[in-house]
Amino acid sequence: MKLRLLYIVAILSCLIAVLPPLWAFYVSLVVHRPSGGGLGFDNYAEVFSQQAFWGSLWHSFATAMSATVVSVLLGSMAAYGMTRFGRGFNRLALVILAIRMIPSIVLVIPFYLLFRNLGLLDTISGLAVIYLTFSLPFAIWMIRGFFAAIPLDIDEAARIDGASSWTVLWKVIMPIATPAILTTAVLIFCFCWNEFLFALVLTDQNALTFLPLLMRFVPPQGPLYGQIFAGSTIYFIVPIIAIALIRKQLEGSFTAGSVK
Amino acid sequence: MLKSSRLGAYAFLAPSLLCLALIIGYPLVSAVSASLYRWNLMSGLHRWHGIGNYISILTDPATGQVAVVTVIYTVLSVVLELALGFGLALLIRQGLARKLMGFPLMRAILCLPVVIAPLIWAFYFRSIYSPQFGFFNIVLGWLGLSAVPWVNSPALALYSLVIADVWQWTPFMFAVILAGLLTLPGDVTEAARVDGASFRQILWRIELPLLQPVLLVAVLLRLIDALKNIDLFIVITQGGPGTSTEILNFYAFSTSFQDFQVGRGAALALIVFVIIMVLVMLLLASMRRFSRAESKA
Repeated sequence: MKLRLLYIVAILSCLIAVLPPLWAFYVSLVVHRPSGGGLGFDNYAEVFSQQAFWGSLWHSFATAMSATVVSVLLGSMAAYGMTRFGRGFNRLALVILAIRMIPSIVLVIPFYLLFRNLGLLDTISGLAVIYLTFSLPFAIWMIRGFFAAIPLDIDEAARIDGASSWTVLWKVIMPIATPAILTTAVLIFCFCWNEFLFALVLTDQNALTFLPLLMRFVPPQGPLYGQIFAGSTIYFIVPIIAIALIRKQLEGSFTAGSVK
Repeated sequence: MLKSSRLGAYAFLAPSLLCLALIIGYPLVSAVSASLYRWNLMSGLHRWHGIGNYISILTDPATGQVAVVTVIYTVLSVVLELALGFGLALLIRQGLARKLMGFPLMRAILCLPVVIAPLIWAFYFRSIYSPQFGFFNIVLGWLGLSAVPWVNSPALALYSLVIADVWQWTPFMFAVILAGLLTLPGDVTEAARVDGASFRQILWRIELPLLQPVLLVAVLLRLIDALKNIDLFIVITQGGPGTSTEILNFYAFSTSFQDFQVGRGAALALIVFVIIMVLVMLLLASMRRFSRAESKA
């Protein structure tokens, strides 16, 4: 293909890919003042002045962080059990992958009914527990792949020195796998950060996360796009920074995971 | 030794398995039991209904419409994403292979939509489609064309949602296919090129067959995700106008949490569950075949 045409099509595709967020950024800057319109940061100021905005950011962060930490810890243990004791657990691994695909809608109804009885509706811990339904299987699946790639000789050397399997996991394997585990943690954090359906149904006031909060910026006469997009712009910078930090790792694992 | 090591494995697995049994096992059982009741959270009605919910869903004329909408939405989205993602992947690979400036960066930029929360993406498109101040209609106005009722006409709304889905998820297809293309054995295509094979021949006869397992996995993953999509429907159309965008997953949601008929809602959700699990079985089977082929190679 001609070099110029290649560049034109590629750049055009990039522009199309970022058009919706750019449009939203533009809308977030449009202001309506009595003195006339223009561009400014009024929407941002308006959103930042709302207690609910900061509260919801904290709730999103606390929920995503708790789910991430618990799934990475439990997932590392499970992955260690699946890779270090002779048996392959291939079938179990597939079951765990299948669990990750279960649609939220079938889980959210029973959890809503259960939490209503237990008084767990609208709590951060309740929501974080539900996030484990997809984050824990994902953690096990990913970390198992990383652990399987670490040669068993390393364990055996530590065993000969008298370390228990518990010590080997935390003192030998985990430090080696830290970059891979951090990648997994970032991905899980982003999944939880972007989750909407569970948060919409199961939180209300005390644990309202950011995405369901956005639904409250939709009065009957139509959404307050300026404020919605001002908040969203702040919100989605978090996963973008997180993913950018692990980009090299991600492209590598994509390659390792697919065809040779 | 073997026995104790097996015990060791389960000691490490136990916390996760116990946790999953509780948070997955319990809700699934509870959903099945809820689906057997005529159960309304508003009126407090809670009466045994047997498989009545399932019968009424299957005999309801509205269900046919929901099925059609669901199939059009998922299949059309995934086919378009596959075609566009493949094209983009070939394009960017050309640039990367020639070590052209800017292509690594463009590869990253193209993946950006995937990172944005689907709910926020839904708001982007609600705004882009808005009748007067939406981006599309403003551009049409500049071109002297009349405004299009993107999501306000029953004939167009579903396709407008397909566009929003394709816009966000083509990058996923692109990323997976590009990763697959980049790991294809270079020597085979090089040999074919030396033998005088054209670009098109190499693509269709060599690369596509080699990529087929990757494509199958990517397509199944996207089909599963498209079936689970709900954010676009909650934010943009609420299933309307009329029932023109009432996809099965949203129908289950609105039955449960807008009409508060949780019994019928649970039955609908279980239907979503069964369909997705069938696709998951296909996915797992194709992944296994894929890894077996790989270990042979």
